[in-house]
Amino acid sequence: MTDSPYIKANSITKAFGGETVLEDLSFEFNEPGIYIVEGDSGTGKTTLLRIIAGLETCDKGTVEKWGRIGYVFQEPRLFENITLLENVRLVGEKKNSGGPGAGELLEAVGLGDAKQKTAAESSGGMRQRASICRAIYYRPDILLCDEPFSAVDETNAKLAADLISLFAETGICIVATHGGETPFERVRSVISL
Amino acid sequence: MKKMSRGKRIFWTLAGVAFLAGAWFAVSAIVGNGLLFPTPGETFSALGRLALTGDFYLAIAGSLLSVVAGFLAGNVIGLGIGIASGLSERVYAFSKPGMALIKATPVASFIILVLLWMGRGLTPALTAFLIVLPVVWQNVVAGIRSADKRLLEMAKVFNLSGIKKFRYIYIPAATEGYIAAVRTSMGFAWKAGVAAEVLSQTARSLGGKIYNAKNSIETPELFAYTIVVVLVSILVEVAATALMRGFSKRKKRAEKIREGGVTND
Repeated sequence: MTDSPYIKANSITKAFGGETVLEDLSFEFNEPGIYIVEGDSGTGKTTLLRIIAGLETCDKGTVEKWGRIGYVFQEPRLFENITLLENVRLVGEKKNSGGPGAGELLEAVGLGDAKQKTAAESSGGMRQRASICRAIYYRPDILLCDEPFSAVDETNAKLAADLISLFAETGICIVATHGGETPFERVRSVISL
Repeated sequence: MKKMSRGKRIFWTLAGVAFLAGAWFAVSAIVGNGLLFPTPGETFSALGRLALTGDFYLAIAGSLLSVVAGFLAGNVIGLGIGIASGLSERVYAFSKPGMALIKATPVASFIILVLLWMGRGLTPALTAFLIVLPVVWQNVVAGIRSADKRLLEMAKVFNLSGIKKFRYIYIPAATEGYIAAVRTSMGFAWKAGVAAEVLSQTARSLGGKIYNAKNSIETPELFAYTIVVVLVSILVEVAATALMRGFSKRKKRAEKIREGGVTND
């Protein structure tokens, strides 16, 4: 038993309708840092994150993990009629007090002036950044990010990446991306699917 | 269908009303017997006479009270069972046969059975209740089941409490169906309630007045009370629509902004 976050995938395989998207994949992440999972569309990046989060099961193999999981979905999945600030605060729990507040997180990604806007009134990029703040405000040990910068411009992507990097100093962060450049200054390792 | 301007729509609506009035004039002239088919003049003259009596307003108030009481009870219980059925397959399977039975039973059978078991006083309210209950139940179940699966998944990941899921996911999902149920069932409840009053000869009610007018062959009065039933039905529907508009306004606004306003940074 350990009290540090880790994820260990043992030969995981997953198929949808006869089409294999993940085949015999194994890895182990046990150090804090940013881990990139890259690949084209349909190569199983989202499926892998969903399996780690417990939202999907794999057909073969196992995933061992320890730690509370936060998730940045590819679509922000915010509640439309409440503010960005309320959306972030909603996942907070008393036992997880401490650390940056919801307002501070939003300010860190350039949403200080927009935090009182409802999600419906916000742009796609603003919503995506708010969803990153929400996942971090949940105080996870493991942060799963599915294409977190897909709707965000370069400047704001850098702000969001800095916030994720700050989290990754103590937690494990897996970022699924199409490949190419990411706004992170340091990554621990890259898995290509 | 091509969308019409507001002016054209009003014109064609007025044309429809004029056609009905013309048909009424024509048929009453052809029949030529006010006891069988009164003219508009005879009818509105009877309506004017009735409107000068306090009994007329007591009848309207009595009918409204019964139907609104039944309508509200149907809403409260329909919402309660609907929410529970939407969230639990067991509750749904348990409540479905009862709701299907209520929905399929002819209104006249209801009225007579309720009259037999409960007496005339409660019949109109109970009839309205039974009309409203399955409609609200069905729409709320459909709404709860249409809750955004992606938001439910997000709620699972972030371990949101049942209260938060209910407040932020299920209530918005059920609101649209519930509003439709209120609009649809209010008119049905009103008509069924008045029919129950006719059959149960409820005192101080529009249905009771219709029954008495029919018994004493006061056809102009019967027509006059029928016009009142129609007018009250329209007013009640307008009131229900206005009340519900407030609920749906926020939702529609959010949808409109989302459809047209979301852009990337």
